[in-house]
Amino acid sequence: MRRTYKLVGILGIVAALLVVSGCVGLNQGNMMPAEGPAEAAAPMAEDAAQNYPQEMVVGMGALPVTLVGNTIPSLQSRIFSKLMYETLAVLNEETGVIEPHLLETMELVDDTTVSIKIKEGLQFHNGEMLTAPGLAKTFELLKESDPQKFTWSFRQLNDYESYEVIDDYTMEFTLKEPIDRWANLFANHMPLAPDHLETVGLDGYTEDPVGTGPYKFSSWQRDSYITLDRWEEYPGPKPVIESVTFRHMPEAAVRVAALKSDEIHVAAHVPPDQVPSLLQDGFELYVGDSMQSMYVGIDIYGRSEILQDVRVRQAMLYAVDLEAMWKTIAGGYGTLLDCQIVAPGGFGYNENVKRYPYDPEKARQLLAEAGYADGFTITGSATSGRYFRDRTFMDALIAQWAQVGIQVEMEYPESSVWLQELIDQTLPLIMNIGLNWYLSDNTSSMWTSARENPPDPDFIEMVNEKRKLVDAAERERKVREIAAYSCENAQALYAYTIPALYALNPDLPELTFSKSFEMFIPSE
Amino acid sequence: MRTFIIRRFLQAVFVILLVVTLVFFLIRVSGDPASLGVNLDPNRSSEEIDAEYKEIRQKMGLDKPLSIQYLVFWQRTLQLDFGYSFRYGVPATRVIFERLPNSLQLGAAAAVIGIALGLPLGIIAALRRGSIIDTAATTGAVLGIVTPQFFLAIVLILVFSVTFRLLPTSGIGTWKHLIMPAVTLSTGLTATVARIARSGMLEALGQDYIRTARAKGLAEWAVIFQHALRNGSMSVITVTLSSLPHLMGTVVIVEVVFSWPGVGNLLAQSVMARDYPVVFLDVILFSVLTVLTFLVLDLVYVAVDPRIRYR
Repeated sequence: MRRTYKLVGILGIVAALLVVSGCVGLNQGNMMPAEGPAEAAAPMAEDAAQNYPQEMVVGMGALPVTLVGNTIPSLQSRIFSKLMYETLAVLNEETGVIEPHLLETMELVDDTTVSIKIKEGLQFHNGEMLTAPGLAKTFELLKESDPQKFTWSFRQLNDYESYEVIDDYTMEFTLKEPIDRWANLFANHMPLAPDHLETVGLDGYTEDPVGTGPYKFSSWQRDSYITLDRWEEYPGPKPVIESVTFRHMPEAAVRVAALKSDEIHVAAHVPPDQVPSLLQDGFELYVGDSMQSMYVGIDIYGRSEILQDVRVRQAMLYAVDLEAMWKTIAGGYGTLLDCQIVAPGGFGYNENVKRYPYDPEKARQLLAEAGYADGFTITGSATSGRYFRDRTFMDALIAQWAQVGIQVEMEYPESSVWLQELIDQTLPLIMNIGLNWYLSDNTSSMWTSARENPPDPDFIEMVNEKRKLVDAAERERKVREIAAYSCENAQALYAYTIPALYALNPDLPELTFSKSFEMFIPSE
Repeated sequence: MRTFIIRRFLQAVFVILLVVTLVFFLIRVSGDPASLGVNLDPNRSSEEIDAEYKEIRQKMGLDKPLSIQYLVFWQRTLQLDFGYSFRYGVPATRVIFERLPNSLQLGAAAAVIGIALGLPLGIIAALRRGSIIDTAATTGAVLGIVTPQFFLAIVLILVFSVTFRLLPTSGIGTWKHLIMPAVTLSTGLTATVARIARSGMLEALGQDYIRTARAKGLAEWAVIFQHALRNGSMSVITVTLSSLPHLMGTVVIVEVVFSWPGVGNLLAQSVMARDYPVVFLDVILFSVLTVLTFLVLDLVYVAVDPRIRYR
């Protein structure tokens, strides 16, 4: 009996200690010690005068696997890379025009000649100067490196036959043939410090990356965190936040929890269903848009006799209550598309092209006219987890088509298997993709992908004609025309742009984000 | 004894070879990593995409017949050349060994917690059989075994990070970062050790030599720790050691939820990205550790229980 009392007593003391330690933690105002890389876990010191944190921590679903500009594969990584690197030119998201950034001028001299002039006096973080000979040197060094390490952004140099250094700041490029995307190379290319690259090589550059952006590299642990410090010598306006840490938090629930516990200041890509709770707790929400649209391709290889009938494809669009799906699945965030791949503001957006209204009766009528009053059964293959709520969206879509008698036998293969099918052009009749139109236009379509017997040769011809148009106004007219044609022919279901939701600590200065996942920090 | 060790060692090598071969073929039938590297920019023609795909396949050596790929793989493996990570572009060994200490740290902490909590809990429950403590310990053990770790992890984060703000939600760096992942990882082990320790002790306490020890007038602690616990420890050792490979398996979930940069987290990402060299090395590492654990277990048997003799 005495032993029992002793045991209960010990347990009581342990419990009391636990409670007391908990109370102490609460009274200390949630402060946690900042030690080494773990300082990211502690609420950051705040600048009393400005009333915003000197260090900002961003919780990300994924971190880039390399820190070298031009080798970072995902568009989403630009939230980090555009703080450390800058591009020669930038896309104006309001006008859709590519404008010089590190360049003073950028012009098409004739159909195949491009002249660029670099701004004078621009430095890299290590003190090297950005010059035309230096840029040419990095092109040469990068071309000699393992091509597997580069993304398509650098491969756009392949559009050019040659380039020539005219003087310290001027270069002239010769295109292989007239092409509308000639400026994309400059909008994507992030200059690297030539001498540093030559000394350390591409692998060494990953360990010690150098750019021209407002932040310079501080520290990095793969798949854990990346820390950037403000570059005090930056020639442009200096951002108000001294240091930015990107932390790897693959679970959305953990990012939200970390934000609520003041461990991070920004939770990137929060799920829409978490938004009400975050707003209730006093957090701010930045509802961003992206240049990636949820696209459902209908018979992209032109292999189905049933789907070759435009009335059937139109019926498939009339049968879908897209607005309800957008509100339910995407929480009404992003932009509901108007039967075209780009949202308003995208290059070649056609305001006269409207979404097919939800009209199941009209859908049934069209199917009956086409000889399919009893419906039909086809196959489909879609991604699961590759794009924002893709499987939920596809399941809802298939259910709506079933209401008018169109049965789709779906499969959701593993991502690499799906990609393999896409490359081999063996995807079934219905497919989905998150189609990027960053630096692209309103003609982006999977109907151009078929290697043999494309579903609509006229459409391919129109797109090929457009690719040779280098005059912006003429090109825009053509793009609008193609977009209208694409909608009328019901090539695809254009759903909505994939939203980019950022939950923010209210103490932060007013951050903004671009549609291409860049983060802008206000300057002093 | 020597023959036994040699035989067990050869068996271990055979198991590792078999596992590696199995993984080599399974990962290849499940998808092509080259497809993940292709840019699907809608501005590009299908010919451009196809050419890039073929270039990547050639670069990765995937254009060669499977048998040749297999031979090349073993040729390199025997030279301890596991190739470069497709994702990171650095040697796979470097990627793995950067993270291995983190996983070992987490695994060791979980094992310590599991034994330090489970063993006393099991002993107390056995000594107080039928009491509230016994009921609580037994119920806790069952809950510990059946509770999914991802669920427990989220609950711990909500309680200790969001509500009480005592611990960081995820990441690595200080001892505070270690607590929740280690506790989550240890729950299964704690519960199992407690359950086995309880039943082992109950069995031992019912033996004649315990009655004899008490009849000799030995103090109760001496009866328990010198006689009952020593004889009841065999099953605890067996379960603890054989649980360690399971611990390595579940470390994947825990590391992902808590963003712990260990080999489990890396394995999850590498499988998704079809990063063959890293997956291979990770699997080899897990296999070697598992096989070695069982080898050690066999040797510990001999040391603890002199009745066991191997020829």
